[in-house]
Amino acid sequence: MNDALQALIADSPELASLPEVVMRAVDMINDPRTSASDIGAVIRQDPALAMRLLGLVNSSFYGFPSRIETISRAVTVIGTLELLDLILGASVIKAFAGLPSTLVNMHKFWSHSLYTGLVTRGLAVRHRAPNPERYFVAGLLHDVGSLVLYLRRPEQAGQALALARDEGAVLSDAEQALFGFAHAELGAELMGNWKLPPALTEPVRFHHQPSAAVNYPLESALVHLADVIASSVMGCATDSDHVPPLDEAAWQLTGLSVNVIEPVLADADGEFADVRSALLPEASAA
Amino acid sequence: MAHLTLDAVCTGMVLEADVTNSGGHTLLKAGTELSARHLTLLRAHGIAVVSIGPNVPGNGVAAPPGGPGDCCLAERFRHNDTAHPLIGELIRLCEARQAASTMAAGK
Repeated sequence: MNDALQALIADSPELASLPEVVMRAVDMINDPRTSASDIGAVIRQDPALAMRLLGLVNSSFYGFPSRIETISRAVTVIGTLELLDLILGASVIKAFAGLPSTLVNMHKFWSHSLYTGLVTRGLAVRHRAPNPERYFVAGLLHDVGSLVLYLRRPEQAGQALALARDEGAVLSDAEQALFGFAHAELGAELMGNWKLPPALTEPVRFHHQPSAAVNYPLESALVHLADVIASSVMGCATDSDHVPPLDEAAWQLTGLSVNVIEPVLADADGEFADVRSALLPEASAA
Repeated sequence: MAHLTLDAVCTGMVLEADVTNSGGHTLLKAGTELSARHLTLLRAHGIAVVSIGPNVPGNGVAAPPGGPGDCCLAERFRHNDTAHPLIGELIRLCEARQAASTMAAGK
């Protein structure tokens, strides 16, 4: 099984590795001694990334009362680890948003991913979970395994999408039947190759079966719920528009009330255009 | 005639007017029963709003008492228990959004 996933990833050079600047950021995420000046040194290598980050920091995502002009100031007000997570999210989306696909509308794919990230973060904030930026990134990247399928197994991926769209199958079940694995496992394997921490890879691996998560059950449950919520109100990443099945145990685990859903969506709606403009400027201009 | 945004349209609905692209070419003719492939085609051409006739024979739009979105929502949530409190809340919010979207499209 792992061999099949790794072979598929190795066959996808566009996705198999991250840009150098992001690899360094990932190293820093995994290193507790990382300082603000380390981050500044990395960001200076990539002015376009710095612009995206500052765009995000100055968006309604944070709603700071005054404008933040420099990365060093952003580190001070947001925090080192939090900014590194945003670097990761901004970089991955920048690296892969331009990938073409004839199978799905990529604008819709990334809009769903972005909205899921915002809802995951909103649920985490209501749950009073630390470092909500990490939840945002986990939600943002939850479907990244689908990109590998679209690029490297387009015919079978198309069959899975058709089964979901026309026959009403659950997409993950259709993928499991056709590939022997689903996009969630593939995405987690891919992110593992990028050396991303388990706090990000496990919620991606289990976002369709959060009860199977071992080390990060809450994170997995929140990404799962956010995917269900985002698919409900703004559509899925694909054209099937079927909401994935809710895992009742995940809902119970969070202890959240249904009363938080409407304000979480109101926040996500208010942030979406700003964050998309910062992270996906091409899509915003289209 | 009801003008519905594409998000509020579902398979089985019947077009009351031709749908044309920006160049004036007809993509789908009035009377077409919309399939999932039609919806994909319309999205690909950037079509945002279509005309759905509530009185067209065979159109499933007028039948549901809760409005045009009902049949769509049943299909959208086919993998979920609609009696679950979270799913119930999501359906309520979807209905509110569809109503707002339809009102905006009709202006």
